[in-house]
Amino acid sequence: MSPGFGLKGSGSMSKPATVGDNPSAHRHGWLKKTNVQKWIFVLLSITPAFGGYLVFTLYPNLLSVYYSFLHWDGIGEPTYVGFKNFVYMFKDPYVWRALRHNLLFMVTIPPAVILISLVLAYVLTNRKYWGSSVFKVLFFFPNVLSTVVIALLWSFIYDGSFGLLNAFLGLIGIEMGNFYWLGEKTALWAIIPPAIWGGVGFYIVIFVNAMVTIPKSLYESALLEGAGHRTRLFTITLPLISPIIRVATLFLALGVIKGFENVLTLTNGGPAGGTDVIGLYMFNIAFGTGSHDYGYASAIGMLLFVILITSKWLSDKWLPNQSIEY
Amino acid sequence: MRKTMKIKASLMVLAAASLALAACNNGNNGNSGSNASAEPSATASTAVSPAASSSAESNTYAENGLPKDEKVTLKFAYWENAFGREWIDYAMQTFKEKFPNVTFETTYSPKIDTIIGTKIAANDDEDMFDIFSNNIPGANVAASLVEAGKLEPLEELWGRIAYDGDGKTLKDLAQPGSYEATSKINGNTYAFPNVQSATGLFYNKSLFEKNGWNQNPQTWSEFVQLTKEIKEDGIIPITFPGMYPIYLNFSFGIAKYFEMAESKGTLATFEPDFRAYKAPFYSTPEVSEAYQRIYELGKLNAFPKGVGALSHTQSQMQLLQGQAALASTGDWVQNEMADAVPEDFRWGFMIPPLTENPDATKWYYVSNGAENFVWANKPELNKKWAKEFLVWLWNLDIQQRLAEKAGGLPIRADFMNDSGLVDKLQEAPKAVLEYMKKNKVKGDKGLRYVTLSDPNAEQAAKLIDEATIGIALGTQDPLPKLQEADALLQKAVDASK
Repeated sequence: MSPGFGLKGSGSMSKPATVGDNPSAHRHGWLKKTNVQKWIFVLLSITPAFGGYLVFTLYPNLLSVYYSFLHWDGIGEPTYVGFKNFVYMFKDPYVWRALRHNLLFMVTIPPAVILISLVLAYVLTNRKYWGSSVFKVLFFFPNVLSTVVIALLWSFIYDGSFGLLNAFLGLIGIEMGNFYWLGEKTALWAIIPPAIWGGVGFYIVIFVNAMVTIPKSLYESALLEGAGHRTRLFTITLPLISPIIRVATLFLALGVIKGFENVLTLTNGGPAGGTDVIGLYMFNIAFGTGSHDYGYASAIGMLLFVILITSKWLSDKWLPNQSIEY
Repeated sequence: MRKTMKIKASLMVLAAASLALAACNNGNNGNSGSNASAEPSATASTAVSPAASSSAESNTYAENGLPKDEKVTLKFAYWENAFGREWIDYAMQTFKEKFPNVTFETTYSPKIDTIIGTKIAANDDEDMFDIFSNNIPGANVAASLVEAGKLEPLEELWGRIAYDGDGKTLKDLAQPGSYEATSKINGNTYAFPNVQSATGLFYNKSLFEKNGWNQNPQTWSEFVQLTKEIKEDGIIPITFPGMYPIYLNFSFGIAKYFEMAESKGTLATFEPDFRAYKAPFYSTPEVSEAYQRIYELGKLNAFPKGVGALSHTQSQMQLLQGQAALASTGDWVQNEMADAVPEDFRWGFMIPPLTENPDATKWYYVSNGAENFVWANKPELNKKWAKEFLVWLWNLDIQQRLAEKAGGLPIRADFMNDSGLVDKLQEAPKAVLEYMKKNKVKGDKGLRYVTLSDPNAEQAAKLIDEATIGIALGTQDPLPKLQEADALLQKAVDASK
């Protein structure tokens, strides 16, 4: 049998091609064809995803840059207004109010999620409890619910008439009557627990998986040298998973800045704009019940983009980016 | 062998990619009507042949003169709200039975405004709906659409003979005041109604009778007295979903400004200025006194603490559970809360009077969503059939279905004057009707005919919207906010010149 690939056609009387005839050209032709096939395969594989990214992500974002220089209500002809939208945006008190609310969420939600996730992940990884696998499922459960479902669930918890929170407080002797936790005084703070509850599950799984990859030998060596629990946690576990913590913090911070689904569902930005966030404000300008202004909304979108890029830069600068090896 | 396998693998990948693309391209309108391969719209899929031209007259419907043999598909956007869809499905079914060459491609959605808004923005006349709910996103968008020539004028429909009206026109058959209450732009009707809509304060008659509360206060003082009595009995006087402050406007909002203007004798100037979106507006006596009324109620703790947190369901449940005496909402509330209404709950309705004159007209807000537009840039035959359908919705059997199944208040006077038919109304709209019979009332949609595109106009509206909760709780004096809003409005008006 010929060791070749039958490249020379099907003529039965022709001498089968062999490597010995012209090995270099033969190999080059084969490699070239393989490369072409490889590239075709690669292109076919990535085209749907990349095409989707171009059409549904990159193109709309580039179009938003264009829209931000227009005044357009989606019906009439757009009008070029230059930087007017940006000038107005910097003077708009509602933009700054929304950003203050975002800042509050940014300094409370990510640290709380990271801290709680780390503690629970550590407990689940390093302590053996009966039913720990059940707890893992329970802790992850909120993550399978959509943000809207979580927000609706918590709106019932916070309800003044029949909410779980008031009932629970009543059980422990704190009578709240018909206090509505999403009302004027407490709405902004009430947004925080559902966001934490909804986020913890995912990061527990991430951190558990990160912790189980730490070689047991490190803990054994530390134990032999008399290291306690706290020492092992702060000198082995946390340093070794610090890159993952850093990425998680970044994702959480970015999500808090641009997300608004829970605010929309829980309070619609109220009462009296008391929980309005920049994403929701932008959304309402473009699609709300008032007059639509896609140009101004796009300008706010550009501001959001700058904020997100700045956040990434700050996290690169301030959060340690060194992975540790032992 | 390896070469063959590679070829097969490449073909499989190609096939998979093709299938994925084909799936994405498969039109998905989320509708229950015909799909993308439906009959084309009316530029005649079936032309009348020369041989048949001699019998062309028999090829038209006697009722409307439209051709029988030209198939038409009407794209219809229906707002699936508290009225449900049973009545409109019945209307379309009976229309198709009568006119078999017409079919519907219907999109139902509780968020139909988003879908309509997207299609309007897309500016694709072929893809746009032929008929669509007037629940469209954005304030004063209708005026912009009229200006752009995108809405079909429907004033002529008032002069159309009803299908079952014994030769009477729709205007003749309309409930008194309905024609006047229908929104008009530049004197023309663009959104044609098929139902009356009233908003105001709904209550439980049983609770009122049990406590001896006044069910029909005629002056502002009587109304305040009522709220005090309710408060003393340990019940929240008035509730509304504070997450959407417009619900307070249903009882104390735009229509009441006209009531105040009428009482001051300034309606003749106030109304045109309002429609033309002139400044000042918020700090005018008519508007500021209306807000002072709300503030006064707020200082009496007439609204629940935490009202800003309430959703529709929560506030309406407060009414149904007897925690609140009055709920500011619309006549759809009974149908919307049908599964939660207690057996002994009897629906009552009142419009709060803002003046001290017991003989003054009580104005009420006519909410959007009960009317339909027709898109102007459609084939003529489509538009004609669209108009026929809007006339068809006035048929008595459909009005009855609307009353029984949807909780709507029919627009036909002959329905409303027939006690047998009135009995078929649900209790809440019946209560509205009873109130309207006993009191001098007038409805208004609060539409403006001018759009201010400067963002300061929207900021002014947002400022007042957000201040409403504080005003309702008695913690925010309305006047400074109204003045601030007017300063913004003035900037917007100046920018539009």
